[in-house]
Amino acid sequence: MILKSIKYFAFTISLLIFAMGCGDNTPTQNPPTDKLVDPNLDVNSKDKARFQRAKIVFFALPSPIETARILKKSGAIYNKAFLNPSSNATGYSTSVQKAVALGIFIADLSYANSFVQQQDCLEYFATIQKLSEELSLSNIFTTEFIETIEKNINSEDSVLKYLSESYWRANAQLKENDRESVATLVAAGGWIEGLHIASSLVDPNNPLDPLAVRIAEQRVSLKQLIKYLLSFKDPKVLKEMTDDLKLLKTSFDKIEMKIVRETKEVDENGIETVGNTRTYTYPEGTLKEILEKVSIIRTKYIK
Amino acid sequence: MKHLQYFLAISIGVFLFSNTINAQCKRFTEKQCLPKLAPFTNNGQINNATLFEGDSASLIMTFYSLLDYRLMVCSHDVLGAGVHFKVRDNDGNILFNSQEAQKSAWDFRVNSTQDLMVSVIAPQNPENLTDIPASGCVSIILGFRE
Repeated sequence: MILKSIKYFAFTISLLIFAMGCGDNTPTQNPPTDKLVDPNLDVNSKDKARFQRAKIVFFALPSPIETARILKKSGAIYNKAFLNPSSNATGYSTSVQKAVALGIFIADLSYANSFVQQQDCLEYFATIQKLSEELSLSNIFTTEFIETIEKNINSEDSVLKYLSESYWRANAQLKENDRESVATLVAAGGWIEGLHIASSLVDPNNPLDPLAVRIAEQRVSLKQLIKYLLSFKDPKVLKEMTDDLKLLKTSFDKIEMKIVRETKEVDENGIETVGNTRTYTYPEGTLKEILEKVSIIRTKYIK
Repeated sequence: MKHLQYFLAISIGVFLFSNTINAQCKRFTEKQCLPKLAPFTNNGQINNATLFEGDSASLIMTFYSLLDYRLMVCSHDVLGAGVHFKVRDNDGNILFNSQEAQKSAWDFRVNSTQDLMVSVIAPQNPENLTDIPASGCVSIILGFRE
């Protein structure tokens, strides 16, 4: 009887550990490395083992909301023809297609809002509401929420605030429900759409175009996105996206990058400017190669 | 049959327990942390975890040139006031240390788009006199503005 109880206890503990750390939809954490231990941290030897175990490395996902702002600041113009028509929303049947499409529409909405296109914003909010419901994201894009947006649609800042809050809640709900793989596909869809918009606007024959620079910079996000996709224990549902992005990465890897170290500067408002400066050089034909691949991948996901 | 009942009860318990922790962390971040980002706009991504005293967590984040950022680490009171964060560049150079700066948020911009590593450290809380290490929600949140 005692043995049986011990057995159940051990089993329960194993199950707890399994459930908390090994969900199929939960990204695995990078193996701990000593490099990541903060040498200044005062930890006694008793705690060291736990500390070593507990070092966690996450990867942050790219945000389509940020991308839209960067595009505008880089001289992009608004052209609805480059966006995924909201009428396409009815054509996505699997949850993978819906998650990627949700990210694409969030990026389109962010882009429309950056250029104060109120009618298009409302249209995309309605599309996002529909797709969110189909992905079982409840109580985020509610009818009341959409009505509030309609009332404040003329304020670019208000719409940005609502978009940011709702996107955060959607991500939080997906995490809460152990559906981080869906959140990753949403982010990947948004990232692809941002790249597609930049690709549609850039001069393909001018690698010095500011938008060509913004495209080159995306190699940093691409690398992190692939790492994140690969970190899931059960990557089957993410395989197609991972393969597509890996293929794209082979072209991004051809871009030459030069790094120059800079010293920290502080402006009159106390904002620090940090990090190195990077300049990019596209070898002959690389920009066009990237644009073609982006077009192929994006077309596949909006169909 | 009894075994099956036991298994189901435990499974449901574990599921609810893990969801409750995530839900609490979500509520904490939404109510206590996100409002502090103003006037910056949150980028919509969620980066939170439950840490024990003595734990550390690192997050690799991409920052874009052309935007100003506010990076903030927000932790539950139970972890004490010692929770702090450091930001390193690719070469491991420390760009910001919230403990030294005595700030819980950092406003900055980057020269060029790049990844930076944000490390959050939750040291032992001297106010915790029990043998059980305290655990609490820690959120790394990012706001941006043009």
